[in-house]
Formats: sequence, C-alpha cells, structure tokens
Amino acid sequence: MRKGIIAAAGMAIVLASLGLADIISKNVGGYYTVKLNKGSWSMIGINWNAGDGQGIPLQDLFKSEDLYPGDGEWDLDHCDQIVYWDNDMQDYVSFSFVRTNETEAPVWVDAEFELATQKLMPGDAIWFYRPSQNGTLNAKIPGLVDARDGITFTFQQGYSMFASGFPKDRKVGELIAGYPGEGEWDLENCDIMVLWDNEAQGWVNYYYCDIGNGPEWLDEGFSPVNINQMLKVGQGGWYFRQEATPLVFDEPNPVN
Amino acid sequence: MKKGILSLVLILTACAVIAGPVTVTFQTAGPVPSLYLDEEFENPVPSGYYAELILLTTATYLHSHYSSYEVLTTIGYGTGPYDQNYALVGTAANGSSAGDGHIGLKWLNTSYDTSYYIALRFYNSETKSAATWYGVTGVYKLTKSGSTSGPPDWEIKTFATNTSNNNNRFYTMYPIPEPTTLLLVGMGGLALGLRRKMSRLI
Repeated sequence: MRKGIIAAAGMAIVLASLGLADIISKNVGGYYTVKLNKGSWSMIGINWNAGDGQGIPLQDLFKSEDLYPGDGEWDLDHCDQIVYWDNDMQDYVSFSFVRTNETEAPVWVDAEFELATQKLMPGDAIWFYRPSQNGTLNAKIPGLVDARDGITFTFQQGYSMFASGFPKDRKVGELIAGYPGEGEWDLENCDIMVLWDNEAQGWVNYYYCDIGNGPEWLDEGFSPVNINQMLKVGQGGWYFRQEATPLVFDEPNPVN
Repeated sequence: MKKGILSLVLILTACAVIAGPVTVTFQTAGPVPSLYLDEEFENPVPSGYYAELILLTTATYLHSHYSSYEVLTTIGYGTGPYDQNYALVGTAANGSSAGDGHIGLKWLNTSYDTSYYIALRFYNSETKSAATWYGVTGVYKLTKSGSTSGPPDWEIKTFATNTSNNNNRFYTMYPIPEPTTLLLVGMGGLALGLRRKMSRLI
C-alpha cells in the first residue's frame, strides 16, 4: 500500500516536471481555448489533430455557435474570416464564414465562394479576423493530440506561418537551429522568428544569431532566450528563413 | 451575376489584406556603441538622452530642413502601447536596457507606403529643448506599406556595430537652429524682398 502511494506520488512528480499533466487533462477534454479578438485580428496556432490523423477540416475547427456569419446571407463585410498563409505559394488564401442561403447553417467558403474543403494540420497557424463585436470571445478548438512520434517541419526560404505541432508550451526556438548569417552580429541576414502576442495584440521578435557565444536564439534585448519566453499552446507566428536551403527539423511527440 | 459581384468584393478584400498595420522595429546592436557625442567616437551617448524618429521623402537627410521633417508619434516598446513621439537612448526595442550608445524602438506604421524613409535623430541632452547638437542615423527605406486594415505585419531594421570601424557609427554633428535664428533668417528674407520692390518703384 505504502509502495503504491509512493509510486503514484513519484509518477505525479514526473508528469508535472515534464509538463505533461496539463496536456493530458486537456486531452481528456479534447479541446483548448483560444481568444478571438473582436473588431481585430487574432493569430491562432493549431496544435491538435483530427482523430484520423489527417488534420482538422476547416469546417470543424470552431463550433458554429462561437462564430458570427454576419447579418443575413453573404454578409462578407461583417462575417468572421480566416486568412491562411500558404507556405509553398508564399501568399495568403482567404475564407469567409457566411450564410449562403436562409435555410442552411453558415459555412466557411473559399475565394471562389465554394464550400471550403481545406484541412489544418498541427503546426499550422491562421489569422482569424472578426470585423464585428459579435461572436464568442473565447472559443474552443476541438481535437486530439497527434499520435505520430513526431512532426517534421520544413520552412522554405522566405516567410512561414507556424505554431508548435503538439499542445505543449515550448521554449522559443527549442529544437530549431536556424541560419545565423555570416559571422557575428549578422542581424540583417540571420533567421528571425516573430511571434504574435494575441493578448497584447503585438509582435515579439527573436533572432538566431552569433554574438560571440555561437549561434543561439536571442530576444529583442539581444539576450539569450530564457525559459520564461515560451511558444504557447494556441500561439502562432512567422518564421523568416534567410538561407536558400530549406530548414527541416523534427518536433517529437511529448506524450510518447 | 451574384458570384461576379462577390468575386469583385473578394478581390478587393484580398488586395486589402496584403497591407496591414506594420510594426517597424528600428534599432542598433553589437558590442560597440552606435551613437556618439563626438566625431572621434570616444563618448557614447549616455542612456536617457532624447531621440525621435522622423519621416523623410528622400534618401538624404538635409540639416537645412530640420524643422520640416515630420516627427513620428506612434512609438513604443515591446507589444505596445505605441503612443510616444520620442525614444530614449539606452533602451532596447523590448524596453530592457540596451546600454550607452545603443537604442531600439518600435513604430506602428498605419499610413505610409514604401516610397517613404525613416531615420532617427538623437540629441546631446535628456530633453530636446535643452539640446544644442543632434545627430542622425542612417536613413532606412520602408519595405512594407502601412494601413489601418489587413492583418498586422512587421519589419525590422538593425544597425549592427560589431567592430571598431566606422560602419553604423553616428555622432552629433548638427547644431540645432535657434528659434531666433530662424526668425531672423525669415525677417532678413522679407526685408530683402521689400527692398527689391521699393527699388523697382523708385
């Protein structure tokens, strides 16, 4: 009996120290909460997957009752919108949440006004735009922790919108060794990560640069990032790749 | 027909989302100071000294246009607010200490396109009114257009000074025009004009 209690306590300490207890509790619920700012933009990171491992269909990303389709049919000026950065095309793709006729529930439509069939994968990030004061401020994204052992990221030269692949807060730049430019203090040519603070509605910059201690991630004061600077669950940002060769890295599944 | 109209609306919307409010990070960096009080580069500008970001329409700064340049008013640190018309030497873009001779700030651009330039003027005093000399950093041409609509965007300009050569080192070199001097220059011009008119009449 006593051994059992000690073992359980030990397991709890291990889970807490690995930061997994929080994930597991969220996984049981099968959702995480994101803030959809009203009258402005929100960048949302996708850290969850659909049960089949093929991503979450855009139509299922939010609960319909959390969104605002505008007033009446095809109210494109006031409805909730999503702008998605296509990392391969290096361009935006937009979607609108509208009521297409008075009898059916509102749906996401693409730029051709067809039903959107896109899926979002863990590690993707999107801009959510809400021009109105309607809709739910805090919305729940349903899903499951990706069952794969790891997720491979590929950032081409240029801009990539991204998020953590798994629902676990990560130290900024953890697992990512970018391009530091040529020599020391080459801030014009090094890789840059710019994360959106959805609460403060502002950007935070990070630089992968060598300032004399070898290449490392630095904050805006050019100090090495510390454990308090996290890429949080639900947070998204940009990765600006400055070298011609793509950046490829693996994010291991923290639950496995 | 309806889809045609909607297509036009969406194309306009798509164009609009390209340009949004742009947060421009403008900063110096490196182990060697960038801003100095003297042209020998011996005395870095102390922390707490006054600086301002100005808007230019050409790539060249002209001292004779000192009073004509627009001083930008949406400046701040970190994630905002961006409501200042000045910055302080010795402060980094996130509000932390940058050390003497260094500076960083963020400027929210919601109205200027890529035909404009920006530069930083730094003064030899903690206040602009008490300053007698000022310097100007390199002039930077904007790479993204600012707008009040569309997704927020960002750009970064860093003047890195990692060696003791003169790259990206700036010093106070211009005397600040006295208000009385400006007035006298103006009155002198007026007097000259009147004299010419009078001579034509006589």
